[in-house]
Amino acid sequence: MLFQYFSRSPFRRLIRRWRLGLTSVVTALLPIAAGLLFSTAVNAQIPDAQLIAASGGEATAYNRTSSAYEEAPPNLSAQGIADHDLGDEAFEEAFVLTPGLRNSGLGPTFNNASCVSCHIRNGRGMPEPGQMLLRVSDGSPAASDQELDAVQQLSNAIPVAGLGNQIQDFSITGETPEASVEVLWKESAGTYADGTPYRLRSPEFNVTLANGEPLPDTVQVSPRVPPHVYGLGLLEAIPKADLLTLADPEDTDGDGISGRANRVWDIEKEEIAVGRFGWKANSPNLLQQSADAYLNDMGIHSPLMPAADGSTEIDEETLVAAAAYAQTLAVPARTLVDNPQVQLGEKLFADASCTACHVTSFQTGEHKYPALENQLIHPYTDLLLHDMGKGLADNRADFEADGREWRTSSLWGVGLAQTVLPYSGYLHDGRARTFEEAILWHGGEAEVAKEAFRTMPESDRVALVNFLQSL
Amino acid sequence: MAQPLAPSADIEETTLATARRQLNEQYASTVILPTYQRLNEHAASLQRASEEFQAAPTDVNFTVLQAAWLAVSSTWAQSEAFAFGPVHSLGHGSALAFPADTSAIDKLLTTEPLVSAVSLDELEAVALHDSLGGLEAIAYLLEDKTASDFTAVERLYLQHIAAAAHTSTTALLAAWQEGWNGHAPYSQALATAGDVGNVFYQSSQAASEEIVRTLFNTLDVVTHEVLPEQIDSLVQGPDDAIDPVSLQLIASSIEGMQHAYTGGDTAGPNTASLSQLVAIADPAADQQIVADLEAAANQLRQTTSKSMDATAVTDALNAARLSLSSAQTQLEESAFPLFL
Repeated sequence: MLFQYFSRSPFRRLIRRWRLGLTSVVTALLPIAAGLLFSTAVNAQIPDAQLIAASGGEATAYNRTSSAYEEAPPNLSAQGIADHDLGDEAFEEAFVLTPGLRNSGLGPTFNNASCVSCHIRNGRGMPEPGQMLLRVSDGSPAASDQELDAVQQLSNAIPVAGLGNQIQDFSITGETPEASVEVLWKESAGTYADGTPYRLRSPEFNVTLANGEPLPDTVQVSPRVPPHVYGLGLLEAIPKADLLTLADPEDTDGDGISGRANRVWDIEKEEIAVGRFGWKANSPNLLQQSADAYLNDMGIHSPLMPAADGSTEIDEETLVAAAAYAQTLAVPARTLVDNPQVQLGEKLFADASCTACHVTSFQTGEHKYPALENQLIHPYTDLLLHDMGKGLADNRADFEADGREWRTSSLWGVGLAQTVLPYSGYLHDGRARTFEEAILWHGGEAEVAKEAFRTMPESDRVALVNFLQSL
Repeated sequence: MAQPLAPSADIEETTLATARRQLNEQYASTVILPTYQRLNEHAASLQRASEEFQAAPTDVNFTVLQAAWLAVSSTWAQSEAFAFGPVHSLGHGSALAFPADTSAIDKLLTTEPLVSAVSLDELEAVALHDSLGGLEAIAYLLEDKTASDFTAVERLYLQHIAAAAHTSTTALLAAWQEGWNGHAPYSQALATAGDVGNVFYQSSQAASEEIVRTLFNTLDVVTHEVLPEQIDSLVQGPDDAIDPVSLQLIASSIEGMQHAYTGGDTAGPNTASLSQLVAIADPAADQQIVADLEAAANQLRQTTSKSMDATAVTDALNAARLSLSSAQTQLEESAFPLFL
């Protein structure tokens, strides 16, 4: 009888290997096995066009397939690879109901059970229930009467009674999810200057609380899809001074772009720091970003964010490992950089002032991982907050980011978004189905750039999109 | 070891480009769609078996249910050699193969509303996380039981999650065959790689690279993780540590790799395949890969078809590992340069 063996763990371990994200297990091996052969060989003979393609400098992965976001930097040290491997395991571990055989502590309410469940293949998530989540704040007049600790006050996001700052729409058995969330799409029409019509969509939400009541109108709601995870270590390695140099909160140069850094609370250092990560740059570093995701997405307490009684469900080593994985994911190389259409598109992108916020290049500074240091990188972001207009506004503050501000998204690797996760959306809530829609949603400080695109001849619009596709 | 030819040297790039394009055009119809069709047929059988077991919990129906589960799981293992595209983004991989939360399943079955449920309708209203369903959860419910061990609620729950698994395989097949949410069939993403407007693959090389990398990654995991783990469990485990289910799944995985490489089980001389592409650059390497995969498949077949003791199974698995390692090396050296 085959099934007499079911009780043995090897079977379950075996089938577990075929789970979602299986291939990420081997990403650390690829740089050693294939990648070194692949990448080093490429680097040894790369023409100028290939140098342009190296978006992450020496930390670039030469892979234009669905596993492109799962590669470790080819220049990572042996210790770095060991950390990456350990982090890969932490990223894939699924948490379970207590008492499980391992990884107990899920919930009691949660959005998902493992990091990789949302950050599928390390790419951006889908705007669907189970992947999209809602951040919330209490915007009622009585909210200011709440007793808040200093960090809560600093965050400008007053927790909603019974929900906190994030709606968790799953629960462990025996508990009740905080709410159920239904996504409804509203369409609107527009036209390019040449008369070509287009349609945009935006989400609306039917939120039903556990008691069957709708979410009060006074609750401020901010939808978020999981952001991509690759290249974050390189962004962490950009010197703070270089970011602040780009900030122009008062728009003193009069170019209509007034980026500013978010100022957030660094829990480990217990001080205010520049925010870099998250849709509104509300995390200063990847360790804190990881701890935040463990807590808010899975209900898992860590040493950085313990429970009220000081207890934790993961230890310091696991938290550090998960952060290390995010830090040591390479950036995919660009493609078709010598294609004239792509080159024209890149020029149009700059001419339209897109590069005012989607800043092309930085030189990285110090980092825990030497492989990420002193690299010329091309992330196409300034990591600063910008007013993106009414159309994209969530009307919810997040530390110093107001309801119209969003952090400039990095664009490196964005051309592979549909390769890694077909049909995934762009922008913070995944509303944009194409690059064109994403651009057309820009407003506020990006209104001029949006209009430049909207009024381009079709051939130029195609070229600009081809450039984005090459990233 | 045969040295691969540099594409720019002795081989016309146009020959390779033609071979890559033909591979991209045919891969879905020769390899992917037939496997997903089988997966869906087996999932339909699993659903029917769960319904029959719910209606009549006999030993015969339980055996049919077990066999149906193994057929779906084996086909799923085959499909990992080309696990890219909608299987991830549309959540089917997660729905079918998320690690089971066994503690939660145990509690779920003894807690309201399930504990007093008498119809599927009552279960439909319960929002289940992927950790409570899928093939591993079904395996957990089937393990170490006889037909008479099952409660009515357990049978009902099995029926519910087997139906959900079938829904996923149907949707997965449809995404590749018919399209999703207004999008064209995903098979066209490969077939039209490099064409204007293809947002999935900007070049023909990228689509072919997808095919070879996914195969390579699966080879790597089976060679360096799955097989060593099985071997360890045999060496360190009790005398009866042989796990036929695991061996069957590994055998299926290798069979999936063979299909991915040679162009499917109905491949003929005119079928474009990765094998054909590699053979253009390095015929000897191609022959070696085909032979290595066949050797590994034979070694696994022996373990599942013969009555072997733990030592003999260990030897067969070690031999399979060496064969797969050789295939992986050849693939890396001969196929990867074709995409530069």
